[in-house]
Amino acid sequence: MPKTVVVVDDSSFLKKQLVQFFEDKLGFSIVGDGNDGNDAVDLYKQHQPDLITLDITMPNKDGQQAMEEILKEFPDANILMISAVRGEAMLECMNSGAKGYVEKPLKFNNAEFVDEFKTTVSEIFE
Amino acid sequence: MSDQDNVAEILEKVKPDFIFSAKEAMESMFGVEGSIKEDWAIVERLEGNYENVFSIGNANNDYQAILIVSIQDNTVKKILNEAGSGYELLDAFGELGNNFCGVLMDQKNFTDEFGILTQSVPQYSQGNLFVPKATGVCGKVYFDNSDWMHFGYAIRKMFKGI
Repeated sequence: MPKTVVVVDDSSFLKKQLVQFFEDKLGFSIVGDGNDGNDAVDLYKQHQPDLITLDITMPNKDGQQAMEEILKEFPDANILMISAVRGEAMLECMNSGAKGYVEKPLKFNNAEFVDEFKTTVSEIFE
Repeated sequence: MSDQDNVAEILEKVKPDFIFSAKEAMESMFGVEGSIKEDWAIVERLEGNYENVFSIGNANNDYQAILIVSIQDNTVKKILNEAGSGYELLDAFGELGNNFCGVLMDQKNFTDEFGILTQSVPQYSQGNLFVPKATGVCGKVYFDNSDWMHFGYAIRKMFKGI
């Protein structure tokens, strides 16, 4: 059975790229995708996927808040932050329970970036 | 020397960081090869008239800034293979701006001077662009010879109140 993932990002443009990457390059099954932190919490509760990806800067509820809400109810949730935000917010996410962090821009045409992305995901499941 | 004179000097020094960030963001986002044809300018304020304008606020405890990415309709059609609605444009080019900010915050020369600034969600507008009382750096990144995206980044010291 393929692992399941929920992808959450306020950019549909990027979300399409992420969905394609998880399906084609990592063999995941996409069970949901959302646009903000509220969607993330709802989709996680609904599907309890093997992995959820969260952008940080999103409208209505940001990814960091969504992560905290998910972890409160599901402390073992596998959460991968995918964001252009650097610095303290990134560290706070990792210290609060995110299992990995991928920095935007997503360079899917760069082999080194793709390898690093794959490694980050596989390390979450080790 | 005023605070903004000082900012202008710093911007001149870290100008290569802005150019690199714009080129890197554009190339990784759209898979095109970018080039710089004219040197970027340090300006007293960002202004201009563009068909599509995307803005993202940046801030930390010491500075507030704004990134403006401006693109003409014909360039949008080329890069997205369609005209696109306001929402679709904001989706793609807002993310371009978001990526620019991320790459810029990886540049040590910039962060040594200004620290790491956190970005807001992007906004879309059309027409006149005018950002007063904030010194900026701006210029174009070209692709396919004649098409370009215009980037402007204005920054000022945070007003701390009375």
